[in-house]
Amino acid sequence: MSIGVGATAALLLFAVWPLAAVLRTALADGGAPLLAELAEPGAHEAWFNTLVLAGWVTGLAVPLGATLAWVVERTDAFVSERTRGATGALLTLPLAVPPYLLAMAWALLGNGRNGLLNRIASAPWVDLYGLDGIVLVLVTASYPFVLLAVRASLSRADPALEEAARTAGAGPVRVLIDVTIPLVLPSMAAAAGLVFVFATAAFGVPYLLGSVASPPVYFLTTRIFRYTTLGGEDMLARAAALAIVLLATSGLAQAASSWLAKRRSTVQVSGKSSRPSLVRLGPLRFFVRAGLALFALTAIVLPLSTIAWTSLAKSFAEPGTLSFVHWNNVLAREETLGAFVHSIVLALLTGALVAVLGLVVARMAKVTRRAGAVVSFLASAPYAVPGTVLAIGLLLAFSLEYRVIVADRVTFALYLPGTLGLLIVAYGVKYLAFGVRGARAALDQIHPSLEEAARTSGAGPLRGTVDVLLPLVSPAVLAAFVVVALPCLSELTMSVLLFGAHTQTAGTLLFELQSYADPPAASVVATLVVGIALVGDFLSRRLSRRRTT
Amino acid sequence: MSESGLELRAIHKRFGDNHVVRGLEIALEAGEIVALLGPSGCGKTTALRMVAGLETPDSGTITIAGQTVKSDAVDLPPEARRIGMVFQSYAVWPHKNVRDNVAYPLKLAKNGDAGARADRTLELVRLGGMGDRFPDTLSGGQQQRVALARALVAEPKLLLFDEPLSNLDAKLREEMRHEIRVLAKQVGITSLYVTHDQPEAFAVSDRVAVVLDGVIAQVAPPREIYAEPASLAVAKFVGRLSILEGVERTGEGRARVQGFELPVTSATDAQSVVLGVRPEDVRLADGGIEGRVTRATFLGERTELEIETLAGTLRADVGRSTPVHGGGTVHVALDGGRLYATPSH
Repeated sequence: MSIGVGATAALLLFAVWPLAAVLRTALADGGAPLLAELAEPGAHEAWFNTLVLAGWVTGLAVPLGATLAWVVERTDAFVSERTRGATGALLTLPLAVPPYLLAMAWALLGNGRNGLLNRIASAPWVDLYGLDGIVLVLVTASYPFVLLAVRASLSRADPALEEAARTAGAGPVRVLIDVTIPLVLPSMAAAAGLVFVFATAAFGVPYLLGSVASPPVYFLTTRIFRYTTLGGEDMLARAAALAIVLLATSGLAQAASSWLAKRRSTVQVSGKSSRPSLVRLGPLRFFVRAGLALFALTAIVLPLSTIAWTSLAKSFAEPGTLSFVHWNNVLAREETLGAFVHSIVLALLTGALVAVLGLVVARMAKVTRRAGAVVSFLASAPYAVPGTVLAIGLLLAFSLEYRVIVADRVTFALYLPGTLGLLIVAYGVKYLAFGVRGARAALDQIHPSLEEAARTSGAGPLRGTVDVLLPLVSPAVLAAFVVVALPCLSELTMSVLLFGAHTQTAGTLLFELQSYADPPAASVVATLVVGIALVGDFLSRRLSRRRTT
Repeated sequence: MSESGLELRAIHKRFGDNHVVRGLEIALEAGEIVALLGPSGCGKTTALRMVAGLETPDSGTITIAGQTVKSDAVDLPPEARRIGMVFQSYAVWPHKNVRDNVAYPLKLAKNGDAGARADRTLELVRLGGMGDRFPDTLSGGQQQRVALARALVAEPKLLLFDEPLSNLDAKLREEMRHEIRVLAKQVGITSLYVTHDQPEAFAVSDRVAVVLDGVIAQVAPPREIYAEPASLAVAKFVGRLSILEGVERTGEGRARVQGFELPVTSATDAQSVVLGVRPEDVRLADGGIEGRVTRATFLGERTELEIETLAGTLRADVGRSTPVHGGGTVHVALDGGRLYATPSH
């Protein structure tokens, strides 16, 4: 139980207090910073741009993801079940790639003056800087959320519901309209909420493609970032005020989507697991296949290979000549090595911390009803808070050194600014929800009688937990570790606000290289990040496949 | 010859290496109810789904009410086959209320007074007044009635039932199988009914088709299937059966086992035979085949005995008040049996 008390104290200190600090700062002097910020035309514009961006991204990613889900799950567009599985995996690949890397790639391709696409066409026909480009990149980064959610709900739905409509006289299109779409609507609403919040909280893509556009476009997150770079107490207060607006916007969107999703929740447990009969596309099959291939090439293969290729192209003027000169340059720099070491250490430590804490919190939630519910809410809620808001909170709350002196002799000092510790706190608070969710699901699967059997066999409470519970939950704990470690490897949104001179990470290094306009060097780092992310993603898919068998 | 309701000719279906349906043939008269009865994995559900058009046979012909819906040249999609189907999981659409569920086939057929006709059909299945309810407020039995109404409402040429009662509790199941039969007969619709439950198949159908290993082993009215199974495999699947060896024919309709003669029917001309005996044809007697009671199970309305004899193990149903205990020696007389060719091992 003392572990539980410790976990609660840590959550109060690192999750609740920083958010309270945001509120306190924004509302200081009778709400002066908030009122001042709300009077700024620039703030209105940033807010408006954020809503427009999130609206467009949601409006495009939801139909796109849902259509892809239906094609993958319900049609005969594939040669074999293997191709079906491989296509499904390829289409969710963008989830493993940090969105700002996609933005980098599209910046190389679609720069209005010297983007590759314009150079190949010898005419400035495309310019991805600005709102349009940001929308497109965020759509390619976020449609997999929808794809996964809709696919899951399609595969859960009883195939007989659709077959009943066929035998009642409905053709494939009618079945789609009358039965399939209404069945997956709740999961689409939930996914739409997720995408909206994702776009609202996005930082890397809007910054890369927005703040250097002409004219520059600012959003809530990028405006907050600008305030912090200006420095000073006042600017930080303004950032906090804007963070409240961001938090409220994303909170409202989440509330709306969960209300929509719950309004007519149609959970159908399939009575018999017959395989759904596939919709025959007939002559359309060729076009659907061609469309899928074209989409995968443009949205996934093209940007990723552009990055790899730019890192190998000898110079901007001679894109055809390949060489490892940039790789040698970048890898020889000490800061590159340091950044990757930091990121790997951060990922491993945060992953381990979250996996263990998640198990503790989930266990508490099961054993003690009321206290457990509070703790598991505290642990899960920060994930819904935009990273920019969390980071501002941590900046405000831990800008000083804190000392606890016990009996004049023992001193505990907590000094976080510019340390890896601050980044671990940020990542840990943000991703603890993954650890809790994974452990919770695993614990729910374990029938209490398994542990009870250990007790009646003569094992004490601790022994029973160690001998029976831990082996059974360890796959889930391992999975949580991987799921958390992967995004930490390339985290940008919070890192860019919290890193110090000696705590450069892969994400912030990339951010600086891109900002200094050194595309080849940035591409080398980006290729490394993508490589690590894809290997990690591959391993985690292998891991989860083994777990389900 | 009466009008044809449904005809399946030489139907084959493979799933990968698994040859599930192997030349299945059956013909139903118009208005007839036939149950496809068989163990799980015998291909009966696959056969039904091929009739519905939800699976495609590798080869063979399917004709519904004189119209060929599947052959080498024709392959009508499910929606063009004019059928109604009731699913094991009910498949009542959760996003539509009861009336809209039932009216759906009529709306597709551009029927003007769909709502009114749906309400009339709901009354037929004793759900009058429930049209505005949503499925999640209904019990399993009521949901199955909705599914039944939906299958019936557009007056299809053929009704298909895929184990419709197996998700219901025992009492409701008995009630519903009676209702399904009465309704189907009242409307006069040809019906194909898949089940693995023998009493259900008998109660519902005019004829029972026993499906074993992807072919129809026997089609006959329930009484005939039970009394005169065409083979030992059918006899074993339909009801309980004991098999005695050391049997010899002693004349037309007579056979001898363990020195006692009894009246028999025969499923075979073979010389080497075994005797299949139903538990209700075994009775305790003062003289007769000697055996030892190895198990006595009190089941309420009867007591089931397992009796070990020199010819094999016999199961016998005796009255509930018969004072028999395991371990004792008894004598039994056989009132009848059926001869089958000795199975080759």
